[in-house]
Parts: sequence; C-alpha cells; structure tokens
Amino acid sequence: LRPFGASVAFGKRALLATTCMGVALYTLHIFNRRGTCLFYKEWNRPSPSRGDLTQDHKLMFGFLFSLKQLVSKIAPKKGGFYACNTSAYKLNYFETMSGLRFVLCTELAAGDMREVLKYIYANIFVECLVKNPLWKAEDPITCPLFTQHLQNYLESIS
Amino acid sequence: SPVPGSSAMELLEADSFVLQSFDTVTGLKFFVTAEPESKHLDAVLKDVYMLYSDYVLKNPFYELDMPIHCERFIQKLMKLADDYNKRG
Repeated sequence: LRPFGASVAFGKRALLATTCMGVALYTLHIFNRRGTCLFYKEWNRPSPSRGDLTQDHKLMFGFLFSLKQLVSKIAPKKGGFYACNTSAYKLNYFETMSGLRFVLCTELAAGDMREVLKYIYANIFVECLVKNPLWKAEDPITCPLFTQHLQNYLESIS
Repeated sequence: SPVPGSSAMELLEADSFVLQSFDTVTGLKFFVTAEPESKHLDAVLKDVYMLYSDYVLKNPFYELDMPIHCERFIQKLMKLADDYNKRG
C-alpha cells in the first residue's frame, strides 16, 4: 500500500525562492478525485507545517471539499470558486473536469493565477504525465520531467 | 496555513460571485456576497457595522444574539445596498 500523500523531496532546490511574475509562491498541491495528494511542493514557506505532512494534505483536501459545497449552495449561477484570501496569503484553486485539483498558495499581492494553473495542467501535467505510458493515474508524481518543466515554467514567468 | 499569523478566511472569489467577510473585535461576523467585479466591499461591510451599532444595538427592544427584526436597520440597509448598486 502506498503511503497516503507521499511528498516529493527536493532537498536544496525546494528552498530556492521561486517567484512567479514577481509574486512569491508558498506551496503547490495536486490532488486527484479521491483525495490522494499526487504532488506537493513548497518554496519559501514562512511557517513550516506542524506535524505530519500527510495530515496537512488531508486537512487541505477536506477544506477544499467543504468550500466547494458551500460555494455551490450560495452561488447564484453555476460555477466554482477559484481563489480565497486570508489576511496573510492567497489560495488559488483550479479543478479539471476529471476531478484533478490544483492548489497554489501565494502571497496576497498575487493577481489572477487561474491562467497559471491552467497552463500547468494543460502544458505540463498533460504533456509529461497523461501522455506518459509509465504513469498510472492514482500514483504520486515522481517523474523528474514534470518537476523540471514545472520549475522552469514558474521561474520563467518571474 | 503556510504563513504564520494568518487570520480566518476574508475573501472568497468564485466564478459567479465574491464573498467578503468582516470580523469585528466583539466576535461578530459580517458577510456580503456580490458580483465578481465588485469594489469597496470592505467599506460596505464597515458601513453595515456602523448601521448595526446605530440601529440595532442602540435599540432598547433588541436582545443580544437574537435574530434582527429592527425595521429601521433593514430600511437603512436596503438604502445602502441601493446606493451601492446605483453607483455601480
């Protein structure tokens, strides 16, 4: 049985400050429809996660699930949510039709990150993983090509 | 939360609406939903708080923590909303 929410270790690379369009990024999660965290990356996270990362992932997924339900109940028209702010950070969210969820936590000054997340899905995730015959849908992401492209993209638009 | 000292959620943006919240120091929470491109919602919430403290709290018949049925408050609130919608 695979450990739930296996996160990918990057050593020193994870500590490099990554800015995207001059905006500081904190964390990125990718969840599948069942709630498994397929991918997790953090840069420059000012307060490290307390305790277990897997608990963190479960918390994040549960939070998004409840938020989605709330939004669907009070929305006047159809449509999901794409961002939520607190006083300290902004959480950007993108969900694909297949139930894949991308969550990017950035600083408050970040603009609309929907295009960024769409690009990450369409041009990096689909290209490197979906089209990869060795990748199975429920597995955590360990493909170096994916991580390399992701890093390049996020650094290139800063 | 990836950053220390974060408060609760303040703003939620969705495709068809935005939800802004305002917490008072007394523990009261105000929420407003509006169209996606709305501006100055935090000013609106502060105005609502002002109306609340004027027309609800100063109303001798109002009991704390009960549902609000103060007519004046509701009138002023509707006027505030109309003015906001007219201003665009």
